[in-house]
Amino acid sequence: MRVRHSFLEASARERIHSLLDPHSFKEFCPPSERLVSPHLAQLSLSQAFDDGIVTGAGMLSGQKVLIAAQEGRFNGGSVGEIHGAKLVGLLHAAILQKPSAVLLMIDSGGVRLHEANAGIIAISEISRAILDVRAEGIPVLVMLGGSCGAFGGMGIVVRLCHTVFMSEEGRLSLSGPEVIETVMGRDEFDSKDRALVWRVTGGKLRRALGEADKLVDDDLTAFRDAASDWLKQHIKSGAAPLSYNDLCQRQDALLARCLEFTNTKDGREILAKRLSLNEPQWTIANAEEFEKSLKRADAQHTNKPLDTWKEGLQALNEEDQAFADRLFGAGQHQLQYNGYFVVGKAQTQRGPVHVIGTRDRAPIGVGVALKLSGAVLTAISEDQKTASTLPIILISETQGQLLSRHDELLGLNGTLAHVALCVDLARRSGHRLLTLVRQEAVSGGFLSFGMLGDRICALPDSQVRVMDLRAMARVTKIPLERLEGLAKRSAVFAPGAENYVLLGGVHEQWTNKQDWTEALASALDHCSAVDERSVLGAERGGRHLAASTAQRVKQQAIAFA
Amino acid sequence: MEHLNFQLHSTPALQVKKLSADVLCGIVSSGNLEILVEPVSSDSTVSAETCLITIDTAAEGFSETWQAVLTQFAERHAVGGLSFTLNDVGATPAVVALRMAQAYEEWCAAMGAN
Repeated sequence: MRVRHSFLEASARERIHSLLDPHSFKEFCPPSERLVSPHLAQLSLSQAFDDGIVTGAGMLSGQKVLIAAQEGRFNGGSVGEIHGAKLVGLLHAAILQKPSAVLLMIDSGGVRLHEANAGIIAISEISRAILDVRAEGIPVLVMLGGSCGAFGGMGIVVRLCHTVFMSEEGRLSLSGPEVIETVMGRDEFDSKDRALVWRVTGGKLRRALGEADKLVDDDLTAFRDAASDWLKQHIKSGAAPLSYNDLCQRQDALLARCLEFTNTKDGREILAKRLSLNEPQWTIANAEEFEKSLKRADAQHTNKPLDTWKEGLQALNEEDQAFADRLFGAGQHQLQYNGYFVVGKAQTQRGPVHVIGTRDRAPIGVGVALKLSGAVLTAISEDQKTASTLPIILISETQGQLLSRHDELLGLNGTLAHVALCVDLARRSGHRLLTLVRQEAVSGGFLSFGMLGDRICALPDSQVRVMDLRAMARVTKIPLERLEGLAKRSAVFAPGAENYVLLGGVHEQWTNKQDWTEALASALDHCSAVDERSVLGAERGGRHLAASTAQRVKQQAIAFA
Repeated sequence: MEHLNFQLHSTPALQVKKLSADVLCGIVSSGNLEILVEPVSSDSTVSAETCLITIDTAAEGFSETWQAVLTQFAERHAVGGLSFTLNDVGATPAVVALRMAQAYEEWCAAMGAN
C-alpha cells in the first residue's frame, strides 16, 4: 500500500512543493527578504519572515501556474497588511501574465485581529483582485484541508473562486464556532463539540451541500492528482467569467436550499438527504466512495420569479424617511423597506439611481443576503431592458453577519460571496457603485457588500469595525483591558470610520454641516472602477506597506517570467 | 519580546557557491521557532570561523540557556561564516537544539554538500 502524506499536517511550503512539478517552484518575496509585520512587533508578538504566506510561480503537469499557500500554524493563517498584500500582488501578476491557473491553498481564520482594520481592507482587496482574475477567464482553484480551514473573510474569498477542493478535515464557514459561542452562548453553538463543528463546517458537509466541488482524501498526492486533472480539463474548456444567467441560477439554487432546510441546525439532516450512504458510513467513507454516493443537489429550483425580494415591502418609517429626504431631497425618492432590507429608486443631481441596502444595524443572515443579491440582479436586468446603467447606491448599515449556527450550516460565507459576485457583475455591466456607511458597518456584512463599492463614503457619526472586542479577546487570547487600551491609540486596530479613512478603506467621511445631495453628486462623479485603496492608504499615511508589498511581489513575478 | 545576539566560534562552513543560498526551517508557533540560515554577507568583517546567531524570542530571561545550547551547536557543526536568524515562541532547549541541527542539515542539502 502506498504511504500517505497528510495534507493537514504538512507546512505551507511542503504543500506547494508536493503539488508542483519537481524543482519548478520560484518563491516571490521569500523569507530572506524579511517582509515581517510591523504591527505584531508593536504588540511584542512574534513575527514570521514570510508573514505566514508563501507566494510564487511554478509548473503543474507542465503548465505554468501562480500559487499561494497560507501557513495555518502562524497566527492561524490570519491576514494582516503584508500577508494580504503579498496575495494581492500575486493576483495582479496573474492578470498581466495570464497563467493557466491560480492555485490557492487557503488555511486561515480570516482577518488578523491584531491589525484588524488593515486585515479586512486587505481581504477586500484580495476579493476584488480574485474577481478581476476571474473576469480575465483565468480559473482560480482553492485547496482546503489545513487545520485552520477557511473562516471569516477568507471563507467568503474561497467562494469567490472558480473551484473548491476540500478534504474531510478541512472546514469552510464564516463565523468561527468560538465567536458564535462567546457572543450567543453555548446553546447556540458548543465549540467544544468537535463532531458538531465538523457536521456544520467540515469538508463532507460542504461537499454534500454543493459549497465544495470535490472531496479529496487528506493526502498530498491525492490533492496533486486532483489539481492536475482539474487543470487539464480547464485548459480544454476554459473558464468563462460568470454571466447574469449563471448568477440568476445560483440565486434560485440558494433560495431553494433555504426553503429545503428551513430550521436545520445540524448537518445530519443534509447528509441524510444528499447521500445514498447511511449514517455510520459517513464517517468511514473515503473521498472516492463519498463522491460516488452523492446525489445531485444542484438541480434544485424554487419555480419562483427573480424578484421575490419585493414581497412584504412597505413605506419607510419617519426616521428613514428623514434620512432619505436629506440624501436625495424631499419627494425625490421612492424607497421601501422590509425588516432589515431597504430598496428603491431615487433622483440625484446626476440623475436617477438605484438604492439597495440594509437598515436598523442589520445582522446579515442568509435571508437578508439573498434579498440584496436579488435586488442587484433585478436592477441589472431592468436597466438592460431600457439600455441604461444607472448608478447603484449601496446603503451599508450592518452590525456584521448574523451569528447563527443555522446560517453557518447553510453556508453564509457562500451566500455572502454570491452577493459580492452580483455586486461585481453590476460593476462590470457598467453601473457605478457608491457605498454609504450609515450608523455602523462591521465585518462580513460590510466585506461582501459595501466594501465592493467604487467609492465608499461614511456618513457622520458612523462606525466601522471588524469584530466585537470581547470575541476578539477570546480569539487572540489578549486580555480585554489590553485590547481596549490598544483601541484608543492604534489606527490599524481601533474601530472608527476615521481610521478607515486614514487606511484608505473609506474614501471620504461626510459631515453634518454638508449638503448631502451635493456630497452625493460629487461622490458619484468620483466613482472609479479601479481599486486604488492601497495607494490611498499609503498617501494618507495609515497603511504604508500594502501598496509597496503588492508591487514588489508583482515585479518579482514579472522578472521571473 | 527579547532580542539576543551571539557570535560563536566554529569550524568554517563549506564554501558557498550560490551567493543567494538560504534555507528556512520550522514555523513560528507556540513552543516552536523558525530558523533562517544564510551565509554571512561578504562585506561583513566577521571571520570565517564565526557563526552569527540573532534571536527574537517571546520567552524573556533565558539568555544563559540560549548561550549553552547554541555554544554546543557551534562546537558540533561546521557553521563558521553562516548566519542563523531565529523567531522563537518559547521552544524548549531540546526543540531548539533539534531545529538548529535540522536547519544545518537542510542548508547542507540545499548546497548539495551531503
